[in-house]
Amino acid sequence: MNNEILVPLGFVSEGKKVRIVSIIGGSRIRNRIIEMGLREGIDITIIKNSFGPVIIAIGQTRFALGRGISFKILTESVN
Amino acid sequence: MTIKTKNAKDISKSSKISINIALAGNPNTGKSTLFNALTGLKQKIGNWPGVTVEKKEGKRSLHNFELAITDLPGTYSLSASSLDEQIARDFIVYNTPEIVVQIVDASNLERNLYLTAMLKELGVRVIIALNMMDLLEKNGSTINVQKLSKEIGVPIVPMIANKKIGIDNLENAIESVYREDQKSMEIIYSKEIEETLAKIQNMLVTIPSIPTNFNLRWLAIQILQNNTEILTLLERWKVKDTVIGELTSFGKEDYEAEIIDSKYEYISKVTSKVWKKGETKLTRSDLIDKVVTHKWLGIPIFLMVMWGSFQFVFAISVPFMELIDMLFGWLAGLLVNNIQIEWLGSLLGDGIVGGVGSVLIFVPPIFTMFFILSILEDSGYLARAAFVMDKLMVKFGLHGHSFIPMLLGFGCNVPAIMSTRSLKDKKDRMITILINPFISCGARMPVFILFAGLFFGASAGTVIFALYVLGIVVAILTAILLRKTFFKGKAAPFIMELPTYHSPKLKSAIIAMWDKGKMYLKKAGTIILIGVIFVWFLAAMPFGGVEYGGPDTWLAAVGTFFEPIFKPLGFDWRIVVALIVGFIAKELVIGSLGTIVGGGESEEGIKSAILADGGFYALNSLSLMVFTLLYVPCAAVIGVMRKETGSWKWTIFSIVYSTVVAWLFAFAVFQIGSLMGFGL
Amino acid sequence: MEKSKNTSDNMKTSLLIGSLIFLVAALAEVILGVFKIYADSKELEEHWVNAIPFPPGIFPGLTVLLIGLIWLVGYFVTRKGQNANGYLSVGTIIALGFILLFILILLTDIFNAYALGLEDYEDWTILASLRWIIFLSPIPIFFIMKYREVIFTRKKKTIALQS
Repeated sequence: MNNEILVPLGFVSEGKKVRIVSIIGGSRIRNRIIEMGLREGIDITIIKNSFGPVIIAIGQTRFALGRGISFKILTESVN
Repeated sequence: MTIKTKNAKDISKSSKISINIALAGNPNTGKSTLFNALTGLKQKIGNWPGVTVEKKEGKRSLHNFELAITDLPGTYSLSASSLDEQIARDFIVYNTPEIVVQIVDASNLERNLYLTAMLKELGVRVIIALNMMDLLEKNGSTINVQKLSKEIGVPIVPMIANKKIGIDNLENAIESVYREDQKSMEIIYSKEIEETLAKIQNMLVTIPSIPTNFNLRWLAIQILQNNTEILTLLERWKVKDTVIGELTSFGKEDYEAEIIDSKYEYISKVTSKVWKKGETKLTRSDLIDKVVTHKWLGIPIFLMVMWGSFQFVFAISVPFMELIDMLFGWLAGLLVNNIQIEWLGSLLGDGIVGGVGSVLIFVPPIFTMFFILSILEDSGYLARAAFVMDKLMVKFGLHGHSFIPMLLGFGCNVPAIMSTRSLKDKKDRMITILINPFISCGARMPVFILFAGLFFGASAGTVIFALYVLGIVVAILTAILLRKTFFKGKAAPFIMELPTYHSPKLKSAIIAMWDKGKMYLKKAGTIILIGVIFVWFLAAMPFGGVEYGGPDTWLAAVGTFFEPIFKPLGFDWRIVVALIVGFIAKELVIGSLGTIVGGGESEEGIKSAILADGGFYALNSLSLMVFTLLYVPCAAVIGVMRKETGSWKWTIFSIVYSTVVAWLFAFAVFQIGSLMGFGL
Repeated sequence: MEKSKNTSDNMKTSLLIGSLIFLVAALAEVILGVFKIYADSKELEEHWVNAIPFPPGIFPGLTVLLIGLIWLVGYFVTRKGQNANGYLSVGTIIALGFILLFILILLTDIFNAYALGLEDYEDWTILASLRWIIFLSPIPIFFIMKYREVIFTRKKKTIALQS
């Protein structure tokens, strides 16, 4: 992949599977997110992204992410 | 602790070896299900020291052992970034349980093992209860349990806690782990970190004030992560300055991110050998979520569920309330009329029985409220309610998480304020605590019902509804105000795990109802009982010749003293007395009015006495309701606020602020109403 | 393949018919409910709205309306060819919940009126607590019977465990 385009999670459409590439923002917030299992390199599926928080799936877990934080998580698409 | 033995049975009991077990785990892994399965109803609910976070303890007999099981708060990590994590970590560090049973959700192995890694780093013996094995197959996932156990050096017991499958194996594991030592799970960090850790450890060894049995590697890792809690610990050992001084000479940086990453790296390496991840499929829960978090349908569904819940609470509790009212009215009358010594009859009848009755009458609605809230929480819907309200809450400088405490506040503000502990950000938490008293709890309802019913006839329902809305509006305005002044900054990011929906269990709802309801009964038995006796005392003093609750009593003197302040709100001394007593508990407002205006203990009697009195009319009863709505809910709230905020300053701020706000609103209502000609 | 198409066609029809019946009933109940509030507030006991044997209510009507709307949105979702199982389930479960709630309220009303003899129940008759949604219960009950596997997850057989 030479022309990777990073897309903030908040812009990924429903049903897409993406990989978390980086989490921007303060280290404190980043560490807490990572401890919940949302970390760089893992694949997530967007379940819902239309109104209010985004719902994502990591394996069998579902997370609701506020819109603010969803734009701080940068992702790339997975085929 | 020695136990005096009286007979053989006691001896056999006391000779059992007690094993101290802590139950840890991520949220939504079935931890309380396992706890209930292990301890049955032999549970003790208390508080964690220093904080009013609920602490559950239970016992279970196992051969000649007695397992003393403590349920730790559900956490993702032990980094102590929230109160829950801090409690869990401190328990393991200071109470040194012999074994920690960690319940792990089999379908989220990787993330759950992160907590395992932290537990092992603390140096405790861990057993993994690998729960929800039945869901693995469905997701197309497999776990090589034996291999995983070998890799991480921790016994693993597969189980299905909600069907009580695997409990026997867990017991066996506890017994065998108790007898032997467990190897530690050494996570090797980068060379740089390891070297720094070694240096810190070498330095820590030389410090005499650090307890010898303390796990120094763990302590060093915490220091390296710049853990603020640990820094206070160092302060207590009077070595903070030394350690910090040494650290700077190591060229300390923030290693936290790297330490977290290393743990995950280790875990991924292990899990890649033993775990076949399931595919993420659109589940039934996801399909339901699309509906209940729908752009247009989400909020209406939420409102309907709430309306239905309130209807349920009323439907169930009204007959019980009527029965309690009848019983206590009859009992009080019996005592007053049949005890020869007049003051004693009055104390027992008017004071204690009448007072306790006026408190116990709220047991049915409060218990049913906890019951329905537990059902909503258990089914998984409450998390979605937070989701739906997030967008709105963000506008007030809060987020969805803050909504659940507000919702609980409609039942009782005390557990509502306690529930704020799950908020990670301190500022968010403070705001959420400070606005909670404005959410009208169940105890304020009777005041509204009585006065709205008496003076507003058919529009009573609307008036009560408007009061609830006013409470919410004031709470929101306060949140905005606090965010703009004392707690500047943005709300912490909203991240919440959405548990899978499942049908709620009647048994756990009943347990939850009883656990939380008991706190209310305790409050009724202590604070309110004392308040009731106090009111009776003031209403009967000075002895001899004064009419009980009449204008010559000490009670009247207190009321008359404060009357000028409340005159502009339309209150005379009697209302003032009721409101002052209401500081103790709102349940006392009607009871003490009953004492003053006469009419006895039953609600009907008080109603007719108020109507006949002439000192009460629509406008001043409206300002009375507004004042009751907005000022300090009760002494218990003051207590819990002190504990949860950890500060008298903010507690006193809350008392003063809410009383001033109550006065201003009641003043506005009464004065504007008078100008418009609604006065007497 | 043929079979699943049939099921989704069936569901489409079910959602449409169910939602239309609920929406019509809901609109009628809400509108009549407004009249009833008006008549009650003016204490017009002879008002024609009081002649309806089963008193309409605004909030109960709104619940019926909401359930109808959920199914209606579900119908449009099926038309787009998407999975509307969630809409069917949520609408049906809410309907069932409210039907049970109103039956419970009916029972406690009977208890309050006859066993306790409360004053507020002097003019009360059983008809006054028969909410409209109770009469609509055949529809959600039909949905539950027909789409049981969609609405409730099937119980999985317990798998044997060994460590």
